[in-house]
Amino acid sequence: MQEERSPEERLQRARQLESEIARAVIGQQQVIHEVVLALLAAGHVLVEGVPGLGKTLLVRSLAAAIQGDFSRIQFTPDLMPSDISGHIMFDMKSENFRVRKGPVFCNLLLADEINRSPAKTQSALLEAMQEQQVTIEGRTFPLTAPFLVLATQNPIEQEGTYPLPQAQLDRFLLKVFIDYPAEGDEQQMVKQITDGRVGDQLDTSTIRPLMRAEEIPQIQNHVASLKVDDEIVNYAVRLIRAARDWNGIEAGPGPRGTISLLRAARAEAFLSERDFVTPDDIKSAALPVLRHRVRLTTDLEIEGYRPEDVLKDLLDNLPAPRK
Amino acid sequence: MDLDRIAIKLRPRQSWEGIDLGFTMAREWFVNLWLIWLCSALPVMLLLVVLPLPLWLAGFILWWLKPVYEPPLLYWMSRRVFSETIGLRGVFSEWRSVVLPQLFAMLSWRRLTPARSFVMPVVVLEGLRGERRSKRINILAKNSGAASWLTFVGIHFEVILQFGLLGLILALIPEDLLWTDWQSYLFDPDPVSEWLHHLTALAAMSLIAPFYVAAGFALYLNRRSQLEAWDLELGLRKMAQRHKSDGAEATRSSTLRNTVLACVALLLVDIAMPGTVQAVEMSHQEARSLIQEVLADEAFGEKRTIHYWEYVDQEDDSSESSDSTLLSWLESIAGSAARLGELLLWILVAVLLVYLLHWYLKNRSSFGGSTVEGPGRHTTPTVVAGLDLRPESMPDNPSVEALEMIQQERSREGMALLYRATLSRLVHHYDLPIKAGDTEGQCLERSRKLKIPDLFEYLGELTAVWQRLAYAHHQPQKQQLIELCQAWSEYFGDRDAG
Repeated sequence: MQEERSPEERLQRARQLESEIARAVIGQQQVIHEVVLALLAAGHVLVEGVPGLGKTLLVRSLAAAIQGDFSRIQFTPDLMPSDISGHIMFDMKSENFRVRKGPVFCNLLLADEINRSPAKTQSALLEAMQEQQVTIEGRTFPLTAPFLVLATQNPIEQEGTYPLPQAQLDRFLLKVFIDYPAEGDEQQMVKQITDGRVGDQLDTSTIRPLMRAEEIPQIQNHVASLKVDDEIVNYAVRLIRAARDWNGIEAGPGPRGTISLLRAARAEAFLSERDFVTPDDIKSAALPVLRHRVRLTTDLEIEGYRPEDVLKDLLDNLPAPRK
Repeated sequence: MDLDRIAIKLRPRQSWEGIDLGFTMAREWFVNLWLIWLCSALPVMLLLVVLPLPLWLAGFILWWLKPVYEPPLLYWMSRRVFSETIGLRGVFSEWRSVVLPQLFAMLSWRRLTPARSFVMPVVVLEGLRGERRSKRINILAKNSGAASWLTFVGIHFEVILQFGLLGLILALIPEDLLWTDWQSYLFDPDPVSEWLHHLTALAAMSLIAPFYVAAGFALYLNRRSQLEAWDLELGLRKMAQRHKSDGAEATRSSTLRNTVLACVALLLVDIAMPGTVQAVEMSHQEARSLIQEVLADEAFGEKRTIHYWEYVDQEDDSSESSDSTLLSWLESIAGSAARLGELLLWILVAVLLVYLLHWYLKNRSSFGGSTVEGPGRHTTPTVVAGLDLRPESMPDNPSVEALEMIQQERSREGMALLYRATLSRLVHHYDLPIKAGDTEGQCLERSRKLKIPDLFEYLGELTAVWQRLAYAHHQPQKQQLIELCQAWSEYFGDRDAG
């Protein structure tokens, strides 16, 4: 029987989760915060950044901290959907068909360079993300909660890639940028990783297990039950609707964007030790939730503007809730 | 001035052809002209670098002193046109006599004369001043329109060239080494960019100046050639020389006729320009009889019959009177329609302007103005997070009123008033740059910049209580609210509400 924890205790552990991962992944506090946010809000994360910044280490550390299963799929152009979901094979010994489950059956899945595979393969994963279940040869297998996908994209190398369509991008709760660490952090990280270590294996031995993976759904339920005033809901809706008509935005977020924004804002409030959501939570969550849900007009893109620039302008100018 | 040595082909030219001639001269002698210009302008530039002047003023002075750099070019060309080559040393040995006369006038009230290039030869080469200068310019003035256009077009070319050079420099700088962006580089330059502006301006001026001065000089030469019949004079001189060299073979009659023709031509020129050509001295009577004699010659006595078509109006005028009323009526209708159309056009222009202004105000954030914070750009908001912050909307003593409300169990209203008054004071008395879209948390974060720890602590507590009340509907302890009201006057109470 699972141990029932009080909300305060859950909060404490979730906050420890952030600091615990930061012991192994150095200099990426914002990314860690946003990944934990996605975990608490039961969403998935699209990470954009150049290779070698610790994405695998991040997921491995998270898996170690919650004692969850971890899988990693390197997406390549010849990757098949069954390589992700699994397949049925004939067992010669028992003379029966046997289901061989794919790497998607885990708690934390790192989908590395997701845009290297064609849309058919991508959609196999995206279906699992949305439905939380996998169908193999007509049989449906539910995925074990929690299930978090951390998909990565390389922003520099675009040759031979299959960019995710807007509808698929919408499935990710957050889009996170992972950047080079600060000089001091990088120095500390290099020292920590190379001292007394052979090779370049990722080391997550410093991570202490804080909770069991089965406890995460309870925390997620608690987060989902946080109080949201009508004014806050109205603010989120106004924000999304304004984004659709805002100058410089060609395609704005749909209603799924509003839902995602409120989910992320709840998790943000939870991490801020509050049991209610404020406009600040909405604003904090707005950029990672919306940046992949808007498409800028061609002229702004040519001028080098990013969705964040336009969204910041929107957030600055849209009146906060009237109270 | 020896017309026999002139290096350009003299013929009657239109003004635009004259400018073409000037450009050809500038192309031919460009290196010399360019060096002469730089030798004049570079010392000025270096002097401006040394002087502790604002950069914009240095740039302006460099531009304003153009009449100092141009006369040496003109002087050199005036010699070169008559096949006399002088070096840089020769030009600058005459610098005082070429540049200094009337320099003050050229740099003050005549600086912005549009026909500067055309007037300059009158001043520099003829050395005329005062009344004589004005008369001379009036005589020559036929070409001043083209000279004004030359200045107008030259300015544009100079600006285009300067911006082209500026753009080229920035485009060639690797992105990693870029210290500025395009907008700042062109319109809000830092000192480095501003020096680049001046250097490119100098380069542009140096490239345009030879063409400008040469074209002005060519216009001047062309006009003098027209007025003084230099081409005729030169042609006759050549003719005379040719005949002289032919020797005695020429018949007496033809020699006489040619001589007479030359005399008449020169006389005509003399009549046209009294005092300028004094080739032949004779009385009017003598001239008249000579002219008649010349006109009686076969060459002038030829008669030709030319046929051409001419429109002859054969319409009957009788219907004109009956139609005139209709015509005048139609004319008045057309006039009214035209006036109405003009009025509508003006209305359209006004509406368009209002729309553009409205569109700009609505989308000004896209122009990069609204996202930049700064003391100069900050405008005091009247509404933050839906709260009216105008001082006139506040009661005289907000904390007392809030306290009364709290004691009447109207905690939410009381706290709303207290929080609104707090933001109002922060905006109007502490000059805190709060934006209209700021949330409570952002307002609190901004107040950290005031660096008043006690105030920040108080605001933190007030914000937390207000947020809990507003968004979580949690009723705080009454005592806590009373304490917040009482502490409020410590930070804001002694300040005037208005």
